[in-house]
Amino acid sequence: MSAPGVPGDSLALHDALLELFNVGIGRAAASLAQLAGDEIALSLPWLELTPRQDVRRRLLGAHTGDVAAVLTTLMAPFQGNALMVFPEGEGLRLARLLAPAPETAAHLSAADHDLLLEVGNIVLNAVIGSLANQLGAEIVTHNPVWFDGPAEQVLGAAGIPLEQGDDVVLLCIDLTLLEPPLTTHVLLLLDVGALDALEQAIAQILRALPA
Amino acid sequence: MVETLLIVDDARFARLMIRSYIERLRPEATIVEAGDGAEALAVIERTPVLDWCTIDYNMPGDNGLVVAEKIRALRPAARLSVITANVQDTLRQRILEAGIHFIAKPVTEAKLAAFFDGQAAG
Repeated sequence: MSAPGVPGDSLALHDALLELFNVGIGRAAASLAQLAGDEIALSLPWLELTPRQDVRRRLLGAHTGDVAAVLTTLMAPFQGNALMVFPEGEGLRLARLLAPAPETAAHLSAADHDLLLEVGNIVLNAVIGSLANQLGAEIVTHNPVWFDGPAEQVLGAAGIPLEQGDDVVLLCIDLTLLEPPLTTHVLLLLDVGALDALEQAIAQILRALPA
Repeated sequence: MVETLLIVDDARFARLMIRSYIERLRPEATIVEAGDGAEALAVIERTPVLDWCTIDYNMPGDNGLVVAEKIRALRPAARLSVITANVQDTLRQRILEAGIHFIAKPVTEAKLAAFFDGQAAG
């Protein structure tokens, strides 16, 4: 697997980061499967160093409709964002699965927001908690917040502008439920400055292995 | 006779960790590695005896359970464990029902020791 644009000892760091993320996602998928009452299929995770403004295109392609997202900001020991993104319609399908409603609602209600915020909270905390445990660190975060609306507004509010912006380390995976069919994206956006701290933490893991 | 172990995982970081623990648990063993199912089958073709095999689940190409079944068809005496970060109960159950040991990532020396000791899933 290539490591587009990741600097330094790129392949080793790329590989280790993906594996740590993968373990966290496994925990998150198990939590989501318990909530949904069915198995969640995982895509292969991917990582790249990309301009912040390209994240939307990488994530949603040509999709320009509404999205919903749960966002947690990572404060320390490195900065970044963790997001669970529901493309248009996916959030509504998940909300109806978890909390069936008699009416055929076309839009997410305030109760749906609360429900999906809690789902995102559980999933993102599973990822972040697992990552912290593996790194032997405490990752300080803000409480998750809910966004929904046009994709550009939502991702803009999550610090993903459409134009300009610095490079960001993007770790992403898709979680797919087969019935009803719905896919959500879980992603970590880490500031490039996080790479040094992560590299040191990974080196520490390797030093702790049996000689 | 020297044992042979095969580690199948697309993440080199994971292979490194697993190898490190195995080298301590089975210091005399010969360890070979593969990055996916196709490579694993190629390795097995040139490895006449296979005693133990750990297989990641979420890999490019065939998933770990499919790879495990293919390995078992070629080397029925080999003891197999699927090692995965995907800790969903349904997947764990499918792996165990196939008669294959299950290890949840992150891998630890104790989980691998349990595999070698023939204990229940770790």
